[in-house]
Amino acid sequence: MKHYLLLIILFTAFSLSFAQTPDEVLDKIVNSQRGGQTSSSTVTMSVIRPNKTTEYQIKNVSDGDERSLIQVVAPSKDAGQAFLQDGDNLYLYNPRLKRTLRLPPSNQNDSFLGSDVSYSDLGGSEFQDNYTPEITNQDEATVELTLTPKELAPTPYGKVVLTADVANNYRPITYVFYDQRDTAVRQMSFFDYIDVEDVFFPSRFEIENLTAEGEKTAITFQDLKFGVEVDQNCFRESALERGCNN
Amino acid sequence: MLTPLKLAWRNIFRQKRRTILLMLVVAYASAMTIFIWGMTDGQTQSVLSNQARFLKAPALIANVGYFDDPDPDNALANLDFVDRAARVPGVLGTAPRLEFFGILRSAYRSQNLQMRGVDPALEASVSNVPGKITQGRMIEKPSEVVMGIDLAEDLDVRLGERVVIEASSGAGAQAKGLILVGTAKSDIAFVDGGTVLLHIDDARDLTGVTTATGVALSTARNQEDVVAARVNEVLGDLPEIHTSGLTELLGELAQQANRSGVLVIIVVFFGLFAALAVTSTMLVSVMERSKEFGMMGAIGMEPPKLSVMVILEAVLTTFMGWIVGLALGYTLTGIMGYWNILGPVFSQAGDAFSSFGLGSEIYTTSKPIFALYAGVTIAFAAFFALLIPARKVAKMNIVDAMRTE
Repeated sequence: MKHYLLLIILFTAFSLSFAQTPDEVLDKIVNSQRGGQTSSSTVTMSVIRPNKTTEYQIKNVSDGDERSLIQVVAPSKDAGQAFLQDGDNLYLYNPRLKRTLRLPPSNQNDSFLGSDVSYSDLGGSEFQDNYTPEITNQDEATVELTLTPKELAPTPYGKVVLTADVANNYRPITYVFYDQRDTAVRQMSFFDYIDVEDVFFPSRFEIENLTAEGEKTAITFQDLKFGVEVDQNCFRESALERGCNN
Repeated sequence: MLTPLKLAWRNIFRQKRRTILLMLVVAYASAMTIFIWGMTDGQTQSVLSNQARFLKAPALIANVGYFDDPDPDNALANLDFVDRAARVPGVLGTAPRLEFFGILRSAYRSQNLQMRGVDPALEASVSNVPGKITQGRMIEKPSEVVMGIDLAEDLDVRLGERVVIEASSGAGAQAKGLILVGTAKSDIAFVDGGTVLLHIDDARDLTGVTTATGVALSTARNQEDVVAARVNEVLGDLPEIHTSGLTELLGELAQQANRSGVLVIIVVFFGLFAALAVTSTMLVSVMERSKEFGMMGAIGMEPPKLSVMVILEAVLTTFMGWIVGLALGYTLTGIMGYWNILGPVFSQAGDAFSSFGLGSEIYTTSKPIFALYAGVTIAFAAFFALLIPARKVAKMNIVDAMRTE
């Protein structure tokens, strides 16, 4: 009898040593999206509204850390616009005005090219700093984390529900943002993961405004390359108007 | 002069109906003049008061550079001078403020706004906003925020819910979650749609400023500029700071609010209208009384004296009408200066008035000077009487006048 008890205790301890805490699961989900490598890509961004869809072609270069250059290539009426992020600073170049404007970081909450995308929506460290995770559902294939804001955290949301693919390195499947009345207001969905030099990256993701029917933004990456040599001149203000060699 | 005056006084009561009608015309013009001045002055007072007590401050002490560039980078170096300023005669209260631009975010949308960090224990002494909180309460401690009611509706935030304020200043990019504890309703567009009050400690965390961007001073109404000048004198040993009264704070708006050019035109119009009515009636009266004037001339009343009599008739009639007009006009401004009758009228006219800082409470003023403005009618009446009917009488031929049928 004593042997059986000992076996049960040992088995439980063994199992527990492999059970992950919600914080550990959250770290895995967030870190799965952190490459830390330089990258370049061509992006198609479709801004879908009930009455029309606008498609943008964008070129993107990033140092994998805090700097990136985004250039709008099409449609022609928006072509030439460029955005440079350098840490907390965001610069916008308007080809019609032939002027570069520096926007304070607080303007990063404005929608990008009238889409449903803003920089702050991408989460990342914001989830770990501002939310307390709880595993609310789990099976062999997926795990669902419900994130509840910490007291007075700088987030307007009442909760965020993350769903991730357990079998594939905890890649995120969806982020659903709820307001403080428990109504879902925004959903980010990740599709078509590709393996780019051991970095699994969603080549397509959508951001849907759940409070307005028929409104969403779809982003698709083409020619995505990681670990590329990036010209440092790409992250200067001059690159906004002239571009750079990448 | 006595005889013409006595005769003029007798004559205006001989033709009671004519006199009463003329008095009514003059009374109407005088009453309207007083009312329009009282209403316009009341509107001006309302705009200036709202600007002082809702939007800006009666007077404000700030760094000299802050008035040109209202950025937290131009915050006050210290607040050591506040006690000295508080002791200046006319300063009724002081309150530090830290104003900065930032983003206010809800789960649905965001807005770029100017926010105001305040000391909740002191702010009510310099601002009427805390008194206009109709839902919830004023902030009491950090991590709380009060908004204008229209702003809260626009962002779809309810009492008890959390909003995010983000700012970027000396402390870099910062963000805070604050709980909405109250909403203010003032019926002033800029207040209801743009007020964000948070605790000054939260504002300091967001901006990296350890002091304040300004110290608001409370003063009696219409004493703002005088008190500001006194404070500047007392704090003259601190050249880096400056105190601005309401006129300086409002700039062009104060000049526009005090402009009375249009009113002068209206007053002249009313006076002219009334005086012409009196003159035309006097002219008809003179023509009708030609034989009477001829008889008076025959018994020794020379035409120039008759002319003076006619002028005096016009002046006395106008004067009596003016007195009645004063009574009516000041009664009207008195009533509307006590009860808020004009406020709802202008509110219903649309948001245009609200956007100028005109609130829902507008009271007319009753100043003695308005009586003088209304008295311009008497001057016009005398002038036109001199010009037309009196001249006719002065040139009268006594013999021909006696023969008039």
